[in-house]
Amino acid sequence: MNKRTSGKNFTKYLILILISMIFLFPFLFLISTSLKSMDEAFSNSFHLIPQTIHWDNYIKAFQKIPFLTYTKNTVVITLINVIGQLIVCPMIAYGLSKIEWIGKKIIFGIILATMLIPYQVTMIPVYMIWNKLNLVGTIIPITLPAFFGNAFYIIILTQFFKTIPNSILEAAKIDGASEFRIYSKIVLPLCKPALATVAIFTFLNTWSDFLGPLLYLTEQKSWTLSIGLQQYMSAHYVEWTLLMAASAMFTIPIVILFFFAQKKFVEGIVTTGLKD
Amino acid sequence: MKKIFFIAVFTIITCLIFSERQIVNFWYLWTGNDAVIVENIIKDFNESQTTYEVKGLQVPDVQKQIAAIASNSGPDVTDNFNTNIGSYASKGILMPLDQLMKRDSYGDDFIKEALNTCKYNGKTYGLPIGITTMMLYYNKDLLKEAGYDRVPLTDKELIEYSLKLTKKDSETGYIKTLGFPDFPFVYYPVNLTFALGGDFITKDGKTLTPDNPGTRKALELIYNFRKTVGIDNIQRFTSSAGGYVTPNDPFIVGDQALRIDGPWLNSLIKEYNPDLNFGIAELPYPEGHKELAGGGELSSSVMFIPSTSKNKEGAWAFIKYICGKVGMKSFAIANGTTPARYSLLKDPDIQKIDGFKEFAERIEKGNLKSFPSFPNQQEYLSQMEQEWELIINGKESLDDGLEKLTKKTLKLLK
Amino acid sequence: MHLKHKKMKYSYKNNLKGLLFTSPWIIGFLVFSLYPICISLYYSFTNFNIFMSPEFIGFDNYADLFTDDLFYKSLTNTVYMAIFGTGISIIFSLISAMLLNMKVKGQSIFRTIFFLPSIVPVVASTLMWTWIYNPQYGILNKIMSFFGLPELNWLSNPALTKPSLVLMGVWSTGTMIIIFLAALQNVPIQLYEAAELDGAGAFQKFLHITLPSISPIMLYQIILGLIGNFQYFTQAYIITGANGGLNVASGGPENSILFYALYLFQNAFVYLKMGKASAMAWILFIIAGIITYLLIKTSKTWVDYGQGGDKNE
Repeated sequence: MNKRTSGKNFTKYLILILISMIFLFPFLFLISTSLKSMDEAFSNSFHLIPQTIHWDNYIKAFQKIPFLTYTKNTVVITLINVIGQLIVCPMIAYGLSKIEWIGKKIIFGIILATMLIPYQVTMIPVYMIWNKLNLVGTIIPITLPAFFGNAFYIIILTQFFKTIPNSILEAAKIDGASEFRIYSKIVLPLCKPALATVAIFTFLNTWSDFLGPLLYLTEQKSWTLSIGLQQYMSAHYVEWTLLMAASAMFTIPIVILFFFAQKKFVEGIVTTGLKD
Repeated sequence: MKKIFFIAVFTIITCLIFSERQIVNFWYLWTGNDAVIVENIIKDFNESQTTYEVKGLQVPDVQKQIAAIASNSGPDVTDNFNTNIGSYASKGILMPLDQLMKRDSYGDDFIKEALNTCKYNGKTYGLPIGITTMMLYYNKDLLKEAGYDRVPLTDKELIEYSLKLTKKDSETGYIKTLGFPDFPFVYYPVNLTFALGGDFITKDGKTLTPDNPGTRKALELIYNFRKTVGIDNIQRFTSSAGGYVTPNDPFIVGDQALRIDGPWLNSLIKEYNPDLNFGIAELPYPEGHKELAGGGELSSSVMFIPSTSKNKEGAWAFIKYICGKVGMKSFAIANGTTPARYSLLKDPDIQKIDGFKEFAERIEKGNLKSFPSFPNQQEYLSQMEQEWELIINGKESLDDGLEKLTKKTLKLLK
Repeated sequence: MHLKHKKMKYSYKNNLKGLLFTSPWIIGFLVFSLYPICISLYYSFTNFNIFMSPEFIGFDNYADLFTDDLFYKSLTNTVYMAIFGTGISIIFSLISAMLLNMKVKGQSIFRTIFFLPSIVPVVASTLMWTWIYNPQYGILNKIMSFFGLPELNWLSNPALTKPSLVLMGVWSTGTMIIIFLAALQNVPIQLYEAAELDGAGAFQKFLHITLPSISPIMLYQIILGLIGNFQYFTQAYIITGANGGLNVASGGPENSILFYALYLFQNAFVYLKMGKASAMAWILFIIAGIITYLLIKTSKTWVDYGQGGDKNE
C-alpha cells in the first residue's frame, strides 16, 4: 500500500516464482515429452523444447483410443458426482456442526472411523451388493454414492462450519427463520470457498478415478479416460510419448476449469468478508 | 390357412433363435497393442461363427477379475499366467478341461511342457496360448572387442566373460558397459537356477527346495559379479534402465553385452536399433554338465474357463479357436510370442519371425522346466525373490539367506 | 447465551432436525458401509480366500501376522511415511497457502500453478517422477552434479526410496494447500488490523492470529494426512510395478517401500488371503483409531473453536 512495501513485494514475487518453477517443471516435462519422438524422449541430453516438435503424438494418442467417447463418459460421471456431493455434504456437515443433537458426536465419530478402513477389504463385499442389485455395468455404482456424501468432504465442511460464529445463526433464529432457511440463506453463502473446495476435489477425484469405473463399467464404450490411459501400455513396452500426450489432454481441461473456478473462489472471500 | 400361419410363426421363431447368437464374455488382461491383436482374433472368430458371439473386454487389473468371479458375475472365459493356475484351481474357480479335451480329442499338439504348466493335481485347468522362455542375447561387437568369438557356454565362462566385458567410465567410474545379464532382474535368477541344474521342488512334489545347487550357483555368480564391480554402481546402471523396455534400453543401445530376455526383445531391437549386431544363444550350463545345456524356465499365458462361466460350451469353442492353429498363429505372428504347439514351431510363416529359430530349437530340446504349480506358489516366489535380493546385495550371506528361506517356506506346501 | 445453549441441547425437535440433515449419510452408511465393514471383521477371523466359503479359525490370522517379518516391515515403512510424509506436507502446504494468500498480481495464475501437480493423473505423474529420479538420465541427478553434489540412486537405494516418495508427495500437496487457503480466507481481516494497531509483527500475527484461527482445519489436515499416509498405496504400487516387472508382489528395493496397504493388497489379491488381509485392515483400524482419538482429545489444548469473531467482541 505504501512505498515501504515495494521491496517486500519483490521478495514475495521472487519466492512465488521460484516455488512455481518447481511446481511447474514436472508438468512442463510432461508437455515436452508429449511433443518428442520416442528416441528424443529417451536421449541422454535433455531439452525442454523438443528438437523437432511432434504434434502428431496428439493425433496418434487421439486416434488410438475413442477419446471423445471416453471424455463424454468422464464428464457425465464427474458432473453427477459434483452435483451429488454439493447437495448432500454441506447439509450433513451442517447437521454435525450447527445443530445440538444427540447424534452429533457419534455420527461424526463413525464417519471418521469409516475412513480408517482400507478399501481393499470392503471392495468385494460392496461389489457383491451392487451385483445383487443388478447394477454392475451401469454408472449407478459410481454416481449414486455421491448422493450419500463422502466422509472426507463432510469432515472438511464440518470444520469450516464450526468456524462460523453461532451468534449470526441465533440472531436469525430470533427473527423466526427456519433451520433450513438459516442453512441455505446464511451458512451456505458464507461458505462459498469451502463449497468450491469440495466441488474441485470431487471433480478431480472422479475425473481421475481408476478402480471405480474399472470395476463397475463392463463395456469398453462406457469407459472413462483414466482407464483409457492404460491402452498406451503393453506388457513389455509403453508408448511413453503417446501416454504423456494423452495425459496432457486429460489434464488441460481441468487446469482451465480450475483457473476459472478459483476466480469464483476469490469472489467467495469477498462475501465472507461480510461476516460481522 | 391355419397350417401356413403355424409354419410361418414357427419359421420366424427358429430364425430368431438361430440368428440370435449366444454371447460369450471374454475378459483379457492384455493392454496396448496386445489388446488390439486379441480384438482382431475375436473378430475373426465371430465371423466364422453362427452359434456364438464373443464379446471382448480389456480388464487390465486382476482385482476386477477376482471381484467379479467371486460374486458370480465374471467372464465366461479369460486369460491369466500359468503362475496362478495352482492357486485358482485349488479354490475351485477353474473348470477342469480334461473331459472336453477328451470328447473333442483336442490337445495332442500342445507342447508338453507348456500343457504341464496348466495342470494342477493331475487335472488340466487351462490351455496355453503362448509360451515364454528366456535366452541369452549377446552383442557380437562387444564380445569381439573383448576378444571373444563365441558366447559363454558355462557358468564359469559367464563370470570370466562378464568381468572382461564390463567397462567403466575412466572419469566418473560409473559403469559404461554392463557385461553381465544383471538387467532386468526379474527374468534371470529363476532362469539361471533351472539352467544351472536346480529345481525349486523335489521330484515327488512333496518338499520345496529353495536351497538347491542351481540357485546356489546362480546367486554366487551374481554376487561375485556385483561385489567385483560394485553394488551401488550396478544399482545405478540397472535402475536407470527402468522397468519396461525403452529406446534407451542398455542392450538396445549397445551398452549391455549379455542379456537374458524373452522373444519380444527381438522386435524392439528391430524397431529402435536395427543395426545392432547381436545373436541369441542358450543359457550357460554348469561347468562339466553339458547334458544340461539348453535349460531354463518355461512359463505360459493361459486361457481358462471360470467355474462360474455361464456359457461353458461357448467358452470352450472360443478357447479351441484362440489356442487352435489359426488363432495361435495370428497371435504369435502379431506380437512375437512363441506358439505353444509343436506343429506351429515348424510353420514357415512363424519361422520367419526374427530370432524364432533359436527359441524353437531350444524348446524342442526338452531341457526346460517350469516353476512348481501349487496354491502358494506366488508367495513362494516372492519370498525367494526378497531373500535373493538381500543375498546378491551383500546384506546377507548365501548360507544364512538360504537357510532362512528353507525355514520360512516350510509351511507353504502344507 | 451459554445457558441458553445448554438448555437447547438434545431437544426432541433438535434431534429430529439433526437426523434429517444427516439422513443421507446415515442411509448410505447403513446400506453400503455397515455390512462390508462388519463382514470384513468377521473375515478377519476366518481363512476366507474370496472364492470359497470362509471357515472360522479364531485368532490365527492375527497370530500369523504377529510372527510375520513383512508385517512389521510394512508397518514401520508406513509409520515413517505417516510421520515424515504428513509432517513435511503440512508445513510445506501451509507455507504455500500463506504465500498464495498474499495480495499479489497474478494470484490466480500462481494458484493454478501450485495446484497443477494435483491434477496430473497419478499414473502419469508417478511414472514421470521415476524419470526425474533416474540416476543416469534423470534431471535431479543432473542438478545434483551441477552443484557438485553426489549423484544418488533415488529409487533403488533402500535408504533413499522413502525420502524420495516424501519429496514426491510434497510436490502434489495441492489439495492440502487449497484447504489451508480456504481456511486462511476465513480468518477475519479485522483481527489482523487490530493486531497491527497493537504493533504486532508478521511472525506474532502468524502465531497469535493465523494459527489459532485455522487450528480446527489444521487438526483435520493432520488427521486426514495421517489417514492418507496410513493407506499410502497407489504411488508405491506403480513404482514397484514399474521396477518389479512381472512380479506383482514386489515391495521395492529390499522391501523398503512395502507399505501397509501394499502388503494388504498383496495378501488379498495376489495370495488370495482375504482373511489375513482383513485382519491387517482391522489392526490398522485400531492403530489409526487410537492415534486419531488421542489427537482429537489432546486437540482441546491447542485447537481454538472460539470463532475469532465472537471472542473479540
